[in-house]
Amino acid sequence: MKRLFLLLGALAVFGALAAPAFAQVPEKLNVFLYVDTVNGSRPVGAKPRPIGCTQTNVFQRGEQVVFRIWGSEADTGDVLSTENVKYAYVSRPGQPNLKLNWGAHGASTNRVWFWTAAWVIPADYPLGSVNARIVFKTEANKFGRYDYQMTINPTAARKRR
Amino acid sequence: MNRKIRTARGRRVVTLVVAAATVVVLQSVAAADPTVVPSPVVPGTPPIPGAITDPGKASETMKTLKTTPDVAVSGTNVTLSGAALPANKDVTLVWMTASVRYILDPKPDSVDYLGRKVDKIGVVLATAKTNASGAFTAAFKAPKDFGGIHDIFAVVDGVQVAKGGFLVERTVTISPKRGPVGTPIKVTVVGMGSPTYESVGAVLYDNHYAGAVSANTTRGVTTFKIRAAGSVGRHWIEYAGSSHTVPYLNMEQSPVPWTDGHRRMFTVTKDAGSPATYLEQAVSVRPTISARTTVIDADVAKDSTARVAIDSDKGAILSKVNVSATGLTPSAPVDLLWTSVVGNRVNCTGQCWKFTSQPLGRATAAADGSLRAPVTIPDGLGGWHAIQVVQAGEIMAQVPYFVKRSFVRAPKVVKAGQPFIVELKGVGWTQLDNTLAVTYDNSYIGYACGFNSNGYVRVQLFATGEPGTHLIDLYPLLYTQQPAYPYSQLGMVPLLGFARDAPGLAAGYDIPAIRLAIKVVK
Repeated sequence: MKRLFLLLGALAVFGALAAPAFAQVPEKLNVFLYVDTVNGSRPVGAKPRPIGCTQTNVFQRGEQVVFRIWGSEADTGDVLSTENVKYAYVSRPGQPNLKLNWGAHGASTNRVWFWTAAWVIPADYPLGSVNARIVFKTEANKFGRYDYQMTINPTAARKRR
Repeated sequence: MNRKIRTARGRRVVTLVVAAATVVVLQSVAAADPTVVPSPVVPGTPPIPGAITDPGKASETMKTLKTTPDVAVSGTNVTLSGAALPANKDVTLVWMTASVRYILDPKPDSVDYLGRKVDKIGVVLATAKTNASGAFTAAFKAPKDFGGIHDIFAVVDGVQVAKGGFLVERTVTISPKRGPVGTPIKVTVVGMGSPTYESVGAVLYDNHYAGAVSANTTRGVTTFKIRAAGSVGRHWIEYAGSSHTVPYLNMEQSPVPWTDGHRRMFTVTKDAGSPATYLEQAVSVRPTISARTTVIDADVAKDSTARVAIDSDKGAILSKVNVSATGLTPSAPVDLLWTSVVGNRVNCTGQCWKFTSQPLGRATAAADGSLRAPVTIPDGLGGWHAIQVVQAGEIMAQVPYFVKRSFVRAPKVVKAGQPFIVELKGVGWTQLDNTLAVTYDNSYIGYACGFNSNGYVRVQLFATGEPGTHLIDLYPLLYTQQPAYPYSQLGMVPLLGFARDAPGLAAGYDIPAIRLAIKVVK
């Protein structure tokens, strides 16, 4: 876990160093976030994939998206957890905000703590790109925000025509 | 023609040109100059489906749109509705699509194919107005556009307040569906996509790879031809999803599953004997860039006011062309020169080819400084060359000329198990025209190159199959295997869609498919 956060910190530092090339005014980073998504094992309107919890950002309608987030405070390096986070959620167009939960995941011999939220994509959800916004507010009133891009595909896998 | 003068002046000119060429070649090796070339106007290309517009900025509280249906072919009636949006507002419905152009590196000594540039654009699909409760409904026909998923945004006062989506399904049709061996089968594809993994189709004929198809500059719509081959009976043409020329056989597991294969059946009714040899030409389009190989403006004498014109700017080797010029030094000798290159790319390191200059003839300018002289296009490399008008060792003016690929000969009858040769002339040297891809009964078997042999190609083939008619098709090929895999994914295979969508069309490369047949006997 510590190694992971060192890596995330290194990525963030790299990002901060690289930023001036693209932005006039570098944004101060209060919170570092790592975000990904995996396919949940409990889809409602689509066939389960052969393998669950695989990283992907392309989903079919009816599949279950699981957001996974790791984070830390930039100033202190403290891992974001229920001990220092006031609230955390994911927003998507046309959907109520999705509360993020802090918990342990993985096999009992290798438990890893991170933030998650599961979302079953509605059957009529618009096709195409979706921007999911991840928002954290810490007890120290610091904000973290990350815009995560996904693609929503139709449900049916068609036969060759 | 006076050999002594010709040689001396020719040498001076050649020295000049080669010196310039050396600089150019070294420069071009050091740094490619990728040029996004405007797409030529190809008849039948659907227009961009609306006025290009700023798609706006995403709202912090974006809603969703309901699109019914949202998976359909072009032309389908579609209803789009939104609710809980700002009340009593004008809404612009923005369809996200793309503009795709080819990237070339046109240099005086070659043209390299470097891939595609895809620019995302938003166009106005329709307009609407929200009611007092912030709802609206709009109807439209699914645009004839690139296939795949298109985002749709409802934009109010420059802000995307809601988003929807629509998937343009791909259709593939063939015509006719039956006929004798050699029947040209027209395949029409609507809805090829703009992203890399949706932009290429791979064609199989009875599970034999025939080549690749693209529709980059024709906005996802194309037609191409293959010929009916094989024994009497049913045969399968598969238009498969692809990314890098060959079929992606489990496309339905990819992120773009809608690009999976379409299979169409064709019935061969009989073997009526070998069809006549013919050339299938690309569509006639106006090139969009003016750069031509071997034409270097800086080589022309700075103080020259001479102008040169020709009565035809393209033709096969040995074509007769009338050259006329004005503004020359009156009553002075004129040398007419032909520019080309010599060399090859095989095991190439450093400078691998250089410019050459060849005399076309000699004349004397009239008292008014004009000239009219016939010339014969040399038997050499195809592609773009220059005819130069030279006086006193200086190039006074020049004009480009395109040498077209031409068929020379092939046997009509070959014994099974015997080798045979197909001969062509006027094959070029750039990445757009130095090679041709060969299929045998719609099965890709290899390529042949004309650079090292100065445009003369002898394709070494071998007669196989049952006695009867067998088809040999020679297609344009892009000679490239650029390492950046997302970009130039059409290299080294038959470019079946060459007639409508090919990088060379923008640069004036008029390259046909050559369609032959042999009768195999025991």
